[in-house]
Amino acid sequence: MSITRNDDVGLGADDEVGANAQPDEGRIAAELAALGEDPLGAAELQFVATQGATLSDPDVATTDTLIGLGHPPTLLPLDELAVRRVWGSVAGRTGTVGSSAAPPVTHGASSTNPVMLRTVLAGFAVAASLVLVPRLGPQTDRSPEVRQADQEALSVLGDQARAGLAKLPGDADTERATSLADDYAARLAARTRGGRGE
Amino acid sequence: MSIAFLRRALARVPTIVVASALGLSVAAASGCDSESAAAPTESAVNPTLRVHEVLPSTPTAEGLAYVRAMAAAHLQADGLSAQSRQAVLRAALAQPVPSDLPEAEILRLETATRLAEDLIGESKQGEGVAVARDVLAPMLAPSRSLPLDRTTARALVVLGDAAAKTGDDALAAGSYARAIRMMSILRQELEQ
Repeated sequence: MSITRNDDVGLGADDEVGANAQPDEGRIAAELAALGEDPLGAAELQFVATQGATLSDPDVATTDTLIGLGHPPTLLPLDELAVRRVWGSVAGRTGTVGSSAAPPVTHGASSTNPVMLRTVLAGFAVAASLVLVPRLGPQTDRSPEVRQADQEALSVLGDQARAGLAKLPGDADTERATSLADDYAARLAARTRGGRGE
Repeated sequence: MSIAFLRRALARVPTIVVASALGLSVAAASGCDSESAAAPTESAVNPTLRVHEVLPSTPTAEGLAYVRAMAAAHLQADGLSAQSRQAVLRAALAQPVPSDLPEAEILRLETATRLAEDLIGESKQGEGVAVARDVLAPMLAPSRSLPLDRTTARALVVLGDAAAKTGDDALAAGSYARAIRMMSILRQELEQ
């Protein structure tokens, strides 16, 4: 049997791992030697001889993944979901679903890789677009919450407009109209005088 | 106010888009006539602002009669109760405008704004607010060029208030935005 490193987090079976794979003591010994490991002991040889052929793909894949959890590759860090999937699979096989066998999942920057961070940010962007698009649609489609927000923004805009107007100098209506009429009359008088002078 | 200033102002006043701050939709600048501006239904925000300078016209006897009548109407309205005041202002607005009298534009806008403020102020049932909006909206339609004057900014603010009270948020937002833009131009003129 050959158990190769499965870099794909989760329970996907490797091509070299299968129920049809037969135990091969010589190949195992060669692989262990290549890894610098001690050769199989008598008990291990007996296990391979009696149980090796009965191991199913999921069992092997799960074991492989658990080994990977103990020696995580630096380029493909496991995320929380993969950890939970593996431990969930183990718990399901051992009949301890719902037990506290699963390791605690930590939340924070230390457990978040850049890919996850980008995914989260992309999620926020999508959520923002889902919120914004209806606001760009017909006014009648606005939800009460959006309408409330628009009302508040509109109120602020109105306050700004009124405040700006108050700071802009100007006469009252009557004074302005009277001034304009007086100016007009003066210009007409000047024009009349000019016409007579010609 | 110089022509050079007017040119600079016009160059600075293309279609202004401020709707993003409100999250409201921005419509194409065209197609907003007086009827649609006065429509009670919600439309799209149109912050288009076109301005022009009101230059002194050649004075005439007919023109003088008109401006004096408008000034007299305001003076008369000062001492009247709300209903009588509104009647006087309506009558002033109904006066025929002599030809070649650009000053009448500001006088009419000023009178309509005062009437609208009166209607909004005393309105309890909302009917006066709707009337105020209907009075001002055609005069301030985005498709029209507006006189570069404080009266215009004030009229836009009042139109925004009326629109907000009648639930037309788009018209209100567009009117406020146009008023703020108009005041910005006027302030720049004062600083020069």
